[in-house]
Amino acid sequence: MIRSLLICITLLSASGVAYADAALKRANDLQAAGDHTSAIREYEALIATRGHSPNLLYNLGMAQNAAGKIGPALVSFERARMLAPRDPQIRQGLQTVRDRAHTPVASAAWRDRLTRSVSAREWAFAGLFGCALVCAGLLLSARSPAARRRVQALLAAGLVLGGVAVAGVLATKQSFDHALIVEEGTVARQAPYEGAAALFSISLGEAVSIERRHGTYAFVQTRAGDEGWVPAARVTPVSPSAVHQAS
Amino acid sequence: MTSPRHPLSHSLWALATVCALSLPVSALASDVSVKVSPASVAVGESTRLEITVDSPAAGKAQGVPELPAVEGLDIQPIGQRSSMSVINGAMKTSATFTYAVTPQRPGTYQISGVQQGGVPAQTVTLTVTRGPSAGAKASAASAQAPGGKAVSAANLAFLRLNVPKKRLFAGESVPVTVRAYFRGGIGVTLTGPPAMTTDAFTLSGLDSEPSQSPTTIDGQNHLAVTWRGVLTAVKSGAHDLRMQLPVTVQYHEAVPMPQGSADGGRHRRFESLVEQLMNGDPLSDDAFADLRGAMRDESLFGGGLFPQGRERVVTREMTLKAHHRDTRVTALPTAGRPADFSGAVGNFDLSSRLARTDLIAGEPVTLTTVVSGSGNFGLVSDVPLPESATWKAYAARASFEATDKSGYEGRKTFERSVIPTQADVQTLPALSFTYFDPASGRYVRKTAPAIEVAVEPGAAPLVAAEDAPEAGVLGGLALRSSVGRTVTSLASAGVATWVAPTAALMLLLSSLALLLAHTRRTEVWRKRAQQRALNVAVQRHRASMKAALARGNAAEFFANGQRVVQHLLAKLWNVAPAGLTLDEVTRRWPAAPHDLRALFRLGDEAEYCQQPLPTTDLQAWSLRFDHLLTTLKAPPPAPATASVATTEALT
Repeated sequence: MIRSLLICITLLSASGVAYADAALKRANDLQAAGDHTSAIREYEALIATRGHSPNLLYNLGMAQNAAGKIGPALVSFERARMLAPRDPQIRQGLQTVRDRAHTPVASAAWRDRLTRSVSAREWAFAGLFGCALVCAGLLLSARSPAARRRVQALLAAGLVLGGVAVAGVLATKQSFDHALIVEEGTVARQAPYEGAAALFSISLGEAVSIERRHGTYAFVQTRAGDEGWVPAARVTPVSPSAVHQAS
Repeated sequence: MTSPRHPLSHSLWALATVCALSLPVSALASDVSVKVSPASVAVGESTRLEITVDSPAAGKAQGVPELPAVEGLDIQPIGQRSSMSVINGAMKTSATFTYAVTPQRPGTYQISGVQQGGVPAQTVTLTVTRGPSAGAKASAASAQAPGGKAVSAANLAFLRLNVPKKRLFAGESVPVTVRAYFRGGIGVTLTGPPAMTTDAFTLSGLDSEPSQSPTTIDGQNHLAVTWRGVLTAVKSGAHDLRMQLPVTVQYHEAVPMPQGSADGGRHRRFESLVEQLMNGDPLSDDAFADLRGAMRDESLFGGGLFPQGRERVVTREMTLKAHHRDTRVTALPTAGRPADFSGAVGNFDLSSRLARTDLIAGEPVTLTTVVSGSGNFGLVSDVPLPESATWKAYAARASFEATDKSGYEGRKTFERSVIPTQADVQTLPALSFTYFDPASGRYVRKTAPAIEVAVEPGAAPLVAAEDAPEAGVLGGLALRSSVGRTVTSLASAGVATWVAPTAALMLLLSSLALLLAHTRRTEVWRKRAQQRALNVAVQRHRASMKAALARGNAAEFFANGQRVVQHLLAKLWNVAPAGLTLDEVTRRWPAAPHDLRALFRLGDEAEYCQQPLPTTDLQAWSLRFDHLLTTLKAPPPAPATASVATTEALT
């Protein structure tokens, strides 16, 4: 009975993977044929059904860039880099699109470089390893009380690794906790409606934080501290947690 | 007979003169005058009311003048000063009391009923208007800060806002000056920058480090702190321009002297002395003796020669406020608004240049477009290249360079790559930029002329304009052919949702294992402690046996011998030694040696029968006991049942 169930699960998983790979091949063919809009649609459908992966986000960013949608391409490459920060092709693609959008150079501070070189997932696994070390220390302490030095070493290493990993996860999340302006000519306004007085313009690809939303508008703050309302369709969070407060 | 003149008479007279100068009111009031300046103010503004009391020197001090309350006016004292003059030998003192008058509502106010010592003053009229007053402008002008009038904060500090225009267009920016004045001698800490308190305007480009300069206002030394920034109107309609500045000031405040206090006594003594000097003969021996006595009194000088009371340092948090009334903001006209108008309001110029004009088809060249002038550069967006089949343009990189401190004047530069897609191109199209000119009230279009170029055919095949981005930008990157590892949500930056519960579960299980081990270990430790206690008891009883053998005390010898065996068996069987009687031992160990049974019988006999035991064979028993102990080292048979409870009491 259990064997049959396992076989069923394996077959279903295999068929799902085969279906996804087939859909990805179809999307890639569309992209290669120059039908960027259809390719984007396929990639987005794949992401909706299979979830986000660096490969899918990378291909989506390539298609969006080819279609001239520089803002969405920036978001896709940023998301891909969030999941796979050391992937050279993703970095190259992101840099190229950034150059094309003339977005400012990212911070070169060591903390930013570190958090942007290790993904939150990797930090989390490092934390799990630290947790395992702590557990090993506890178990060794339970089994061999005399091995005090080894227990202390395991506990210290595990706690340090766990603490660093938690800090790394939080810092990485924070470094992606922003949104990008995805259309050129975006103007921030005094109030959330079209006729409101214009305050300042925001460049394509500029990082902002979304403070709250109202209808079809989002209240954003730029890195320079300027605040204003922009159409929500013109700003996309890199990580969905970038929206600090829902209206 | 005339008394001889005292040799110090001139000095005494001089001293009396100085004393008279220091008095708040030093003589009888004979003339009281009232002046209000400026006589016309707006609601919320402050004006200055001065009451001057001129008195002959021989008069009697009267104190402060009586000032009736006037409904609608807030009158607060802010200071006083005294002076004395001698004209043709007649001495006259003058005391001026100054008040800050702040009207609450518009209208014409009659300030009457002012009197001093029963002498009435004339009535003065104060006109209060709704709008800004001429007096405010005059006052501001005297402070070298024309423009909006400040709201006084007890005349310690005030804020002024200088806006060059009363009528603005929505989106228009103007340079403004914000100036805070602080009276000399007070300590000031700025606890925040100046900020607008209305949402109809925004203030930007304020100096992070304002300039400071000394200035004089109404004869008072002040410190002027100046910020320069850009004010932008964002909401049409008539609005009050309100601004505030939080500060903390420190100043000295006089402590009133209570009646009957030591200071009050000195004050009265001082007044009596002065009165005697002025009314009587200042050169008489009595007066001079009093003055000498007063000068010897250290407390008189310790508190200051003149009775001005003590002072304390007061720290006060204040919010300075300034406002302009009825600044009118007009919406930009919709009629005639160009489609490419991006919201720029001001006065701008446009220029453009190509990095080179000898081009090769398909190769990019940098086009630089500069918008210079003054206005709201924040809304000067891109100056795009017109749609063209022969040119491909990419997004521009924008940069702004201010030519003044506030960012009102400057130049915004757009740099973009453009590519001629054909070899027969002769010009780069003209660029245009539209803005609204508030001076003329019209939309203005500035045009940078077309640039002549020479384009040669390229070696590489030319790409279609719409295909240029991916061909030139990401052509070297290949698409991925597998989906790869996926995450269901990006909300946690790709961290799987099972990570945290797994870590928690691992820690929980480890902690439980540790707890269990600790509990077991505690049981082991307890048993070890019992064993140690039994060993100690065995040693103790064996020592007692040896002592009894040496003394020939058979009862003690057998009793301790029985206990030694009891403890050894208790240790082996993990039971309480007291419960191991002969019957119990026999039940547990049916093959127990004969000597062991005999030892238990003799031990019980020694303990319970009180009969003297024979001592002749103690040495032989000692040898038999040693042999018995050797027997006990071999493990005895396992007990049949644990009928004897383990006890904590080990003896």
